[in-house]
Order: sequence, then C-alpha cells, then structure tokens
Amino acid sequence: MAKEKVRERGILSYFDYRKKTVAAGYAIMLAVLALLSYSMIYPFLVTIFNAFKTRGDIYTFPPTLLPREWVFGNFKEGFQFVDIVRYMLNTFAIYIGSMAFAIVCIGLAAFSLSHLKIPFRQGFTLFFMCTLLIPSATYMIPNYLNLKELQLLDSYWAFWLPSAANAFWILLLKSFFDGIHKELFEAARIDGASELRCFIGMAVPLSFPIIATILIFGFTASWNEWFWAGLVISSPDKYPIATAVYKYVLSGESNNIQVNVKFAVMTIVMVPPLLMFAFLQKYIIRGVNLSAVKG
Amino acid sequence: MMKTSKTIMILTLMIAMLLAGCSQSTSGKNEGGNTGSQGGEATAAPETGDKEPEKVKITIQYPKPDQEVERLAMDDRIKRFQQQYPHVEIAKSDWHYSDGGAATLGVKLAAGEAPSYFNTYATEAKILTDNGYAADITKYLNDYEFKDQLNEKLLDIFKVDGKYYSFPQGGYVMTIGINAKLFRDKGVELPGYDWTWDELIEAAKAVNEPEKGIAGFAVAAKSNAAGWNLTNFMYQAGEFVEEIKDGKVTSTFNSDAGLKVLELYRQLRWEHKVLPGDWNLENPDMSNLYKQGRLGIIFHNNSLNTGINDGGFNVEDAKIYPLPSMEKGSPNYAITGGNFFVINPQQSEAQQEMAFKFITYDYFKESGIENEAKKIEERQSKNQVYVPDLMPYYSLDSEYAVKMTELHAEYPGVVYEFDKEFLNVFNQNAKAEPPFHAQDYYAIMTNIIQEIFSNEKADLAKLLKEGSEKLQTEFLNKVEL
Amino acid sequence: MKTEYVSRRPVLASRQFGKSRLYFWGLLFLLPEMIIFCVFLWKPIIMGMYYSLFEINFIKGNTFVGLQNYFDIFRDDSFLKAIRNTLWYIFLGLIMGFWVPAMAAIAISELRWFRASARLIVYLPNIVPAVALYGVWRWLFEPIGPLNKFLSVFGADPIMWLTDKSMAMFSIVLMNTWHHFGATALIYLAAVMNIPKDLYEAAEIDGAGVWQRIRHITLPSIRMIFVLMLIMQLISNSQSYEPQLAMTGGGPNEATLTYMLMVVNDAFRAFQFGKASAMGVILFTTLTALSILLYAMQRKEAN
Repeated sequence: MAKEKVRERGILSYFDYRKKTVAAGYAIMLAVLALLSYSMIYPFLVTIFNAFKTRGDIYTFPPTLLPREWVFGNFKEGFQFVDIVRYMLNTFAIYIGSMAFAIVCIGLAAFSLSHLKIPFRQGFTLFFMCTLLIPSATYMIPNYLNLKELQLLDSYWAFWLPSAANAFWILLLKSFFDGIHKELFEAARIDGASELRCFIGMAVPLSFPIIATILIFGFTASWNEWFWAGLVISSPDKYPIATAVYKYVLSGESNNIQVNVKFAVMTIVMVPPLLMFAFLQKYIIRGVNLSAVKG
Repeated sequence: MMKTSKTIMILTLMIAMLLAGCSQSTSGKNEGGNTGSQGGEATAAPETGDKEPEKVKITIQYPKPDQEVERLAMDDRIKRFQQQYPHVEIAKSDWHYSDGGAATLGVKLAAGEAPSYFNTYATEAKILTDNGYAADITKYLNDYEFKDQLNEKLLDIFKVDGKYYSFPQGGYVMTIGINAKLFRDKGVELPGYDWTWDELIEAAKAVNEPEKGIAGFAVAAKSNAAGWNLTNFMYQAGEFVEEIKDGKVTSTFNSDAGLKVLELYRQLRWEHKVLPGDWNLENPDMSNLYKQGRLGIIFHNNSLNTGINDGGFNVEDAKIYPLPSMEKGSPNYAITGGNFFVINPQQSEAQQEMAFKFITYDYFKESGIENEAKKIEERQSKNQVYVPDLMPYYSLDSEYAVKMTELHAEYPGVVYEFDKEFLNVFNQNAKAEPPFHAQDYYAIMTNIIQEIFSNEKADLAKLLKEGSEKLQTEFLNKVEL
Repeated sequence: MKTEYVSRRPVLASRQFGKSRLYFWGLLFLLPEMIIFCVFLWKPIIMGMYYSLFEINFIKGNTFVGLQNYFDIFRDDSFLKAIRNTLWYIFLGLIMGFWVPAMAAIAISELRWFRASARLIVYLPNIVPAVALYGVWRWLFEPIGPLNKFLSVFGADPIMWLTDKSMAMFSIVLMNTWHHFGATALIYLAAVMNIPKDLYEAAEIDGAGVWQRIRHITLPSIRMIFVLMLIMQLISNSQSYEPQLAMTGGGPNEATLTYMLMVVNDAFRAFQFGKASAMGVILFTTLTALSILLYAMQRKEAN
C-alpha cells in the first residue's frame, strides 16, 4: 500500500495541473465521466428502488426513481419462492472450480505461446483462435450431446472443465505476457529457475491486473449464465442462481410473483457480484515493481 | 517477500479449490441417483398383485415454486396415481416449454431427456406436429371415457388428418381488453359489444393522448404474434388466407379483403395515430403499457388477469370485449388458442399411455373441482380475482361444466363474473388458425405490418402481392396433400 | 510462405531429437489446454459442421440432404439483408464504440479521487440484471422519453429511436456500447496501469506535453491490447443478436435483423438446426478466410 502512494502519478504530474489548458481538459474529462457515471448508476438505482415500491407504484407513468411509499415486505416474499442462499453457494462452487481450471490451463498455454520455445506457434494460436469464429449457438446441440456422452450432465464438471476452453482469455493473457521483457526470464533461467517457476514466480504476479480482470469477467459470466446452465443441470437443487431466478422468478406467463418482488430478488442477486468486484478490482493497480518479484 | 507469500497463498487456494471441486462432484452424482429412485420406494409396498405388470417410468412436469397450490395438488395427484398404478414410477422434471421453447425442447429431445409430456401453446401446434415432435394420442383419446364431453374446438387445434396430437388444458378465444377508467375520466361512453372497426377507431381516438404517452389502441407488431393478431382482422374481412384448390394449397390473401386489413393498420398508425409511439410491441410489452394505464384498448386474450391481478385495476375498470366486426352484422371472427399437453413421441407405448392417464387423472373428477376451489381460494387470500377459462377443456354443455359453474358461484367477488351478453357473443365466430405453414405466414405478415408502421407511404397492394407470392412459392408449393 | 515451410522441414527432422527436449516445456504447458479445446470445443464444432449436411429431426431421425441447407440459406431473402445489417452494425460499432473503452480507461487511470468507484460504476451495467437495463433503455428511447425531451430543448424534432428503420440500428449500437464498454475498459485499464511511470517522468522532463505523452507513450504501450480488442470486437459484433432480440426483435421490417439473430430464429423457434449449423459454417469459413487474408497481408507488409 505504501509503495503505491510513492509511485502515485499517471500521465499527468502534479506540475501539469497548474497549466490552464490541462486543468480545463481535466475538468471536461471529469464532467464527461460524471455524466457517464450517472447514466450507469441509474438502472442500478432503478432496480434497488423498485424493490421497495408497491406494485402500483412501479406501473406509474412517467416512472419515478424513488418510491412514493416505501415497502419492505418484498424481500421477505422473494425469499419465500427461491432459496437464494443455496443457489448462490451453487454458483460460487461453479465459479471457483471454473476459475481454478481456467487460470491454470489458460495461464500455462498463454505463457507457452508467449515465452517458451514451441514449433508452429502460429498454428497453435490459430487452433485456439478459430474457435471464436463460430458462434456457440450453432453447435449447441452437439455440445450438449458431447457432455452427455462424457457423462458430465447434471454435474458441475460440465462447467469446470470447459471453462478453460476460452480462446479470448488465452489471447488476452498472452498479450499481457508478451509485454513482459524476455530478458527477465532469461536471467531467471540462468539462475537455474525452472519454467514452472518462471511462470508462477514471475509471469503470474506481473500479470495480476489482468488476472484480476479475468476473475471479474469469470464471475460475471458464472453469475449471469442461466440458459446453458439450466439445460445442463437438471436437478433443481443444483441450479446456479441465475437459472433459479430466471426459471422460478422471471420467466413464465402464469407467474404468481409480482413485479416488485421480482425486483427485490434481483436486488439481492446483485450484491455478491458487487462485493466480488470491490474485492478483485483492488488488484488492478499501478505497475508492479519488478525488483519485488525476483526476491 | 510480500509477493512470494501472496503467490503461495494463491497457489494453496487454487489447490484447495480443485479438491473442493472433486468432492462437490461426487456428492452431486449421488443426488442424481436419488431422484431417480424416489418413485421406487413408493412402489415397493403393494407388490402383491398376481399379474404384476412391468414397471413403467414416466417423467412429469412439476409446477414451479411460485405455484404453491399446483405443487400441492400435483404431489397429491402423484400419490393417488401411484396407489392405482403401483407399477408406475414417477420422476419430476423441472423443464418447461416456456424456458426457451423450441430451442430447449430440441436439445432435450436430441439427448432423449424430454419429459413424458409437456405443456405448450396453441400457436406451437403446427410446428410441433409438422416435425413429429408430438405423439399421436388418437387411440388413447378414443378409449377415454369422457371423450364426448371434451371441448371439441380445442381438440381440433392439434388435429391433423383426423388424428389428435394433444390434450387441451384450457383455452380462449381472442378478446380485447378496455381500460374503462380512461374512458370514464374523459366522459366517453364505452362502445357496445357488437362494435365495428370504425367504432374501435373512434373509441381509440377518444382516449388517445400521445403527448402524455397514452395510446388509444395497441396490437402486436413484433414477432409472429403480430401476424397472428392480424389474422383475426383478416378473417373478419372475409379473407381466410389459404384454400385448397385443384389438390393444391393456394395463398389467397392478396385480395380486396386483405387490402382492407392493411388499410386498417395504415389508418390506425398514420391517419388516426392511435398506436403507441413505440409500436414495435409483443404481448408482454403491450401488457406493461396496459398496466401502466397507457392503453385504452388492448388486443390481448388475457387482459383481465393482466389488468386486475397484475396491474391492480379495479374489477369494473378492466373490461373484456369480443373482437369487433368489419361492418355492423358481419361475423366477428376470433382465433382460438390455449394451453395443451403434448406427449413425448420418444417414449415407449406404455409410457405414453401412462402419461396420458396421468395428464387426465383429475379431469372430470371431484379432485379436479377440489383443485379448482383451492386455486380460487389462493387468489382470494391475495385479494385477487380468479378469472375462469373462457374455453375450458370440458364442453360447456357437459355435466362437469354445471358442477364447475356451481363451484364458481360459491365465490362471488372472487371468481370473475363475465357479462352475460359478452358470453353470448364472444365465441360465436371462433375459428382456428390457417392450417398450413401458419408460422411462416405470420412471419411474412409481421414484416408487412412493420413496413406499414414505419413507412407512411408504403405501397400496400405491392406488399400484399409480394407477401402472398412468397408464402406460395417458398412454403405452400411444398405442401403435399 | 510455402517455400519457407518446405525448406524448414528437413532441418526439423534432422534435429528432431534435440528439438523435442527444447520444446518439452512449451508443449507440456500447452497440452492441458489442447486437450480441453479438442474435447470441449473442436469436437462439438466439427459435429455441428457435420449436422449442417442433414435435416435434423430427433424423432424421425436425421436425413442426409447434402448441401440443401446451404442452398436454402442462399435462397432466403433475409440472408442478404442480414449480412448487410451485420456489416452496418459492425461499422457503427467501430466508429461509435471502439474508442470509448480506451478513452474511458485512460481517463479513469488519471482520476485522483474515486478511481475505485469509477471502475465499479463503469462495470455496473454488467452486474445489473438485463431485465432492468433493457427496461430503462426502452424508457429512454420512448418517443416522449428523456432522450427526446433533451433534444427538444434544442428545438429538435423527436426521434423514433427504435421504430424508425434508419435509426433503430444506431440506437442499438448506442445502447450496446454503453452496456459493454465497462468490461473492455477494465482490460485497457489493466494495460494502462502496467505502463512504467518512469516513462512519463522521463518524457515530462524532456518537455513532452500531456497529449504527446498520451500519443507517444500510453497509446503505443497498449497497442497490442488495442489490436486484440479490435479483433475481438469485430468477431463479437459479427455474432451479435442479444440487444437486437431484446429491443426490436429484428424489426422494423428486418432493419435490425443480424446474421446471428437469423440463426437464433431458425434454430430456436423453427427447429431448423441443420440450417442454423450451416449458417454457422458459412460465418466460420468467411471469418477464417478473412483472418488468413489479413495475416498474409500483414506478413507482406512486414517483409
């Protein structure tokens, strides 16, 4: 923490702010960011405040942000339909396993593509990248049949193992590894470090910001995935939260759940990703000091 | 130093996660096994019969958690069913057609994991029967003791070449909803039930206030629902879309009648401007506007539930209307729709038979009436209104219908009381969907509607001609009679 | 390229033994990922390609139809329209959306206060349930909604954001950029944060202004990410369908019908899985050919 404070400077230095044009530009930038932030917070607030509205209040037109009459019973009613805690834990189980597989397999592969000697480097890159060029919806059924054949249906392995099959994350991690100077690893190798040590001891810590980013993306993906998860998992007690909420709260025409209760459920469901983000984003920090890594 | 310890921490964490993963999965597999054997325990007891039939396993659709009453009723039904048929093992499925429709059904069928039967809608009838994804239930139906008392109009929706492919759950004839409060506030009289297109336009204009976001009238303009809605008007204009001529199916809607309907749509949008500014709507979107009090008239079959139970309208403010007719006295055709049970054709004959027995287990029985009473009481406890099916599975002349009516009469103020006069007229001219390639025809009409709504100068005659030709060449020509 | 390949081959063979040691770690590290890709991606993808030659029916059984699915696609009126719309969407996405996340990342990295909050805020749309997001945007796009109210202050006529054929795609790109730039901005942010600060320090001492520092240090440092994100945006936009499905359903009159939306409609509404697979194969072939072409052009330029 202390280290960060010392290095705290970006493109601008304190000296720059004294220049009129820079200060003006900075002010404009702040104004734009503020406006943007407002637009981004708005739907978030709508979700939260709708959870405290009466049903009639939600259908008032034109819509108001704040409830006219605060109701607190919606949350209790929401909990009655879905065992939110259990489904959240399920999602966490899926997420943690997926990330363990993804980071290890993808990290090793990206490191290999970036810093190790391999034949047909372009070929391998293409082998991974081409999978992005065909939309998954067009091979959804073979995908499902494949999981059935492997007997992975209705088990979390169906999420954990394929989580590493993500070409985008490989390319992302690879391009970050590419940014690390080769000399660093050469030096380590001369000192007798194994490749595994180079990877774990240097490449990974140096890429903390992007790994944290991937962990955030992974969480959002696990948290929001309902369609595929709802197909693969058939035991209701193993559903991840998104599937449970979609199936039991949001979908269906003969739904008995009122709209304000739906918003209460959605509000609760937003909490873990927020906490997760707040926790992980701390790792997206200013450049790590290289000398610290070696020791 | 700090960095190294952090790395080690992360590594141990990762390993811990991997281990946690392994244990999680094994326990998961066990759970899967349990659900399968659930039915087995129940069957264990009455094994004394001399001619023990072979075990049959069926997978039933279990209601979602918000349907508490239905869940209890289903548990009860399973118990009673297994007492009568101890050789049947029953597993609960949580998959519903509404969770992604055709896409998920396709996947489930591909893997042989679809439930023994599933619930679907009238609009899906053609696509399911065309693909063979609905089992032929004619022989079970013929053996069914209450066959004569079933509502024939509903049965006909899934009837192809004299064979039946589904069992009705409950249905409706297309109707219109009116927000009477808007009319009262404006001091405008509501039209009569024998209303015409012109009266519909006049009524819509009377409450139309675009600057306040209130539209006089809304009809679906998005997805195939748009074409489906429009077809009601087609029928009213005397245009029945397709006909069989010289052993061929011919598209007929490139006609004066067809043009009149497009002209009606054009006028609604451009001349009278009574549609919502954001006219690209399907049913849920229209319902939302209705609940917000932003629609005077809504073309929607479930407007009572939407308005009263979801939108919080006063009971007298949500009016249900029959569809209008083109001119005074001409027939006010309305398409029938509803919910249906389809039996999975992948299942063995024994399974299909049991699935049929299970679906119909409470039909025409005391237990069915008890369930109905429970559903009404559930609404009552929530201060809501129970809207009975306008076209239940039983025929309205049957004994069972009398019993149901008696039950409904026991709950005045809870069971919605339809206006007598409305009941007399709403289904006089009920009609089924066009028989061939209805979905493709709807898709074509939806594009035409959107063209008319987004382009003031759209050439209606040309659109109609091209649409009709497209239906003919791309789809109807392939039909073999 | 070809000659090079041939000339390298004997060398490879003769040094096989030595090379295998040299490549040991590299290939070992690649192995788990290779297995996972083969089992969980390539296998279903290739099965899907095989499906494209069949009429898929799970009850009656699949019928081999050769290239019939492909002919059907080329005969479909909507096909060309969908391609045109998709290209239009990609183009709008590039000019309206591509630069936003990078700018946002640089701006956020320069914040002196609330940097953490700003990061959280731009990422919020990825956390808020889609139902709420689309609901809010519907309201924004209403003919009498806030956007038009804002325009009317300047005396502009109200815009039919979603129901005007020439506006609808634009509106969707606007919404989609807003929705997704936060995630991409995080990636740029990670890259921008990784730039050693000494570089700025040195440049400043050399008298480089703020803009020059951005142009000559920041942007070149994140060039790799820039290129990667460009490719990713092109790929993902070529497969976009969710915002269209949610906001317009492809209308008005197919003005926002994208290629993928057509696939989804075929596969998910009409049970035409063979045709949907075939459309996937067409997209795959086109994009792969394009990538190879781009790659070859790049090589030529480098030489």
